[in-house]
Amino acid sequence: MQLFRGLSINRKITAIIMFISGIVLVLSFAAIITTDLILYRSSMIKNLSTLADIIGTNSTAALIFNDPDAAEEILEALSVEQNIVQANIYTTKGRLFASYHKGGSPERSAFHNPFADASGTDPDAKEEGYSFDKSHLSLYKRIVLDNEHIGTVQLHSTLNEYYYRMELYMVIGAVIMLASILLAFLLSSRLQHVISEPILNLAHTMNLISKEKRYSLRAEKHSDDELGSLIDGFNEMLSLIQARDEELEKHSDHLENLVRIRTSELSMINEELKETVLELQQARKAAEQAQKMEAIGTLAGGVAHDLNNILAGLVGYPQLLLMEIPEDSPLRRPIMTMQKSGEKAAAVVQDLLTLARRGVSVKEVVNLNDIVYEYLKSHECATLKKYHPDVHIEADLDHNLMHIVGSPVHLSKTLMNLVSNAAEAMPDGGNITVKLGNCHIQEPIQGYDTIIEGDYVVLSVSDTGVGISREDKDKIFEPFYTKKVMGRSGTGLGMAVVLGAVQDHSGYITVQSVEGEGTVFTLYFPATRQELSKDTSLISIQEYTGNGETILIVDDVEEQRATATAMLRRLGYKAVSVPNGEEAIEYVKNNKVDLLVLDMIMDPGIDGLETYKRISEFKPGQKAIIASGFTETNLVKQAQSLGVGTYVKKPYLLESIGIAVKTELKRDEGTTAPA
Amino acid sequence: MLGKLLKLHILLFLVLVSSTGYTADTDPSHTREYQVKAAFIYNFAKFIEWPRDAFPHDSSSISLCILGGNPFGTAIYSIDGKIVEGKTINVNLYDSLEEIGTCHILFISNSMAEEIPAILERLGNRCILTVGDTDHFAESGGIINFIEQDNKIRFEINVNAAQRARLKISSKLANLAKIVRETPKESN
Repeated sequence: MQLFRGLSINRKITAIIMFISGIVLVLSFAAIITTDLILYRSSMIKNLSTLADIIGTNSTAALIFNDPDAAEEILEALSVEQNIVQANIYTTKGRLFASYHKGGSPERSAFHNPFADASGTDPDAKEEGYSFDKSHLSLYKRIVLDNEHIGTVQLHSTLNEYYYRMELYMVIGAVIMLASILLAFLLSSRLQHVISEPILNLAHTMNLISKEKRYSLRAEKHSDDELGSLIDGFNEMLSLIQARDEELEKHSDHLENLVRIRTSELSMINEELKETVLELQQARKAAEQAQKMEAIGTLAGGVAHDLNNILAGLVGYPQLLLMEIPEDSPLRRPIMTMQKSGEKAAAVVQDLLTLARRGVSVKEVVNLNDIVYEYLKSHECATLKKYHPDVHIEADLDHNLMHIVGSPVHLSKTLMNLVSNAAEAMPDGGNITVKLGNCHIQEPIQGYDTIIEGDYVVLSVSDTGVGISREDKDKIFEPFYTKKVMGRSGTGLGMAVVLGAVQDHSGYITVQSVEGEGTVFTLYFPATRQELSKDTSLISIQEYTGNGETILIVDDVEEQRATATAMLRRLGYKAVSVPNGEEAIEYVKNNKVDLLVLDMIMDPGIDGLETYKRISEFKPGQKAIIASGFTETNLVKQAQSLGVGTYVKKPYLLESIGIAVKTELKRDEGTTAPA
Repeated sequence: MLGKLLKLHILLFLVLVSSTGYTADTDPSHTREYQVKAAFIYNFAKFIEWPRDAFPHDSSSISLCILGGNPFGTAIYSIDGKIVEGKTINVNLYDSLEEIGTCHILFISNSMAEEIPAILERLGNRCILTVGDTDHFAESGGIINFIEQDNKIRFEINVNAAQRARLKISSKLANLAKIVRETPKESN
């Protein structure tokens, strides 16, 4: 069976047809042969029986008249019958009466009768019937005369003819079988194409399709039977598959597009995310930086406020002393040194305050040309040149330079710090170029994410120094970070002050540096269309001396009061001082006061603003200026809105307080100090 | 029933006797010889066909006539009353021809050897089966004659005589017999 499963369909059909025709043939032959042999047997019996009857009838007389010779003569007639090999006649008693043997007549005594016993009788002789053995048919037939049983005939017939017939049948059967099978084979191998060919075609097409994946192929249809509908179904299936494939392909194309779009969206989102993360990191850094600065600023502000009060005496008294002692006094020089030290300390404090971004109050229209020009002429610049003889400073000014709004002091300090740093960066000498120019900014500049579009004034300070390393670039604006030799120059606050100033002026700063080649600091300040304010910087001491006007100094710190009183008296004013706001109010009620110098924060008691408010109630238009080392912007603004004039930062300097007092006193008169 | 059994026994005896083939030399053998001959006579009836007119319409018997003394003794009675083809055999003994009435089988004893030709002549063409055991009986015009051959009892048949008597003799019987022709002088 396993063998049969492996056969191809045409072989199978052939085999089945041959198998069936073989079986049919065998069965038909078996039936025919069996029937024939059965019929042949019965006809044989019948013939033999007839023969026995004839023999019996003919031998009645011989039997009755006891003439065995006659009987044997009769039996001799059987010689024409080829099949009869032996014939016997028995008497009623079973005694052998006559016998015949084919192929000669043997001796009666020697005659071999397989059915007879020694006495020559046959016990079966009295009964009629027949029996078959392997090769013979034996038949007994009674001999009856006149209804009387007178003897028995026994005939032995060989079955040779029967066997021959059988053999013949076999041979014929085998020949016919072979011929039929051959014919069946030939016919079926020709006719099976009708069935197998479409199937084989189908199988071939199927193979082709599965091998080459060509779903456009179709199986050929040759008939309208079940095979035809099978092929139809197969083709239909193929069409479905093809259609589905096409649809799938479409879908997959669409899907690919979709994936591409999604991917690009994703990568865009990813980019955005990266940017966001970067921004966040920067923001965090900036926030950390701001927090750091804030903390330092707060600290510095607190320290500066206290130091300011202490420094007031250190700066003020040497000034007073210098006025008192003669020009040629040997004390003059040490006192001057003392004063300078005080001023330097005051500058450090001022730096700290600037850093804390609380010192900026002056918002006036300035032109950076003037700042640069003044710096180059200044004492500080000269000192710098003295320290760095090999450093050459160049200024590239722009006469069409636009104005900006800001604090000249801070701007000047910024410039000074930048030039000082540049000089420090060139231990072996080199060039410092200070350049000014206008520009219009639209695009964000390096280091800034957003920028306010507009006109800017650009200040750049470049050197040919050692440069700043990448790692240091981020740190240079941190307070107390310095690469300079400590004690020689900086406070460690220089660049922090620069940054603070830039931020206070709503400007921007960038640093470009190549190690070994130099550094360029570029500062951007928003330009303004406002006109220049009057310049008070050039007032000489003669011009801010007073004419005996009454000045009331309100300050809770005794040293401040003493310094301020001494300074103002020296300038020709009638200076009076009170330690708190309440006393000031009392004094103003009872005396005529031309100007109040108000400390903003006083402890205990009411502050400067409150004091001025109460005084304004009973004496409106009372002139006043504010002196404070610690500017509460809000308080100053409120006070100024009530009519208070300018603001003077502490510690008091003779010049600054003198100018402030003189300016305020002259305000209503509409006069300005001579240039 | 009794008769049937008896008949069977006689038959068996006869067959036995006939097959042993005894000679007639001695007295007992003489008896046996005639026993066989009686049986033969009975058996002849079975193979011989008489013309229809030989039997009266209602007749159902075959008349067996013994002429000139009874050589069979009691043996002849053993066949008396036996039935052949539905006809009973009646045995009658006669001393002279004149006494004989209806007769189908006539056994002429050899005691009448001298008179046989005359008797046969007298009988003419009558439908009578003539049987004898005398030499030349058949040649003299008798139909069947017993003879002895190889110590066996056999018989000869004169076919012409049978034809004259309008008797049909079965070929089977004829096959067993020695066929004789009539001598010319005898046939006169």
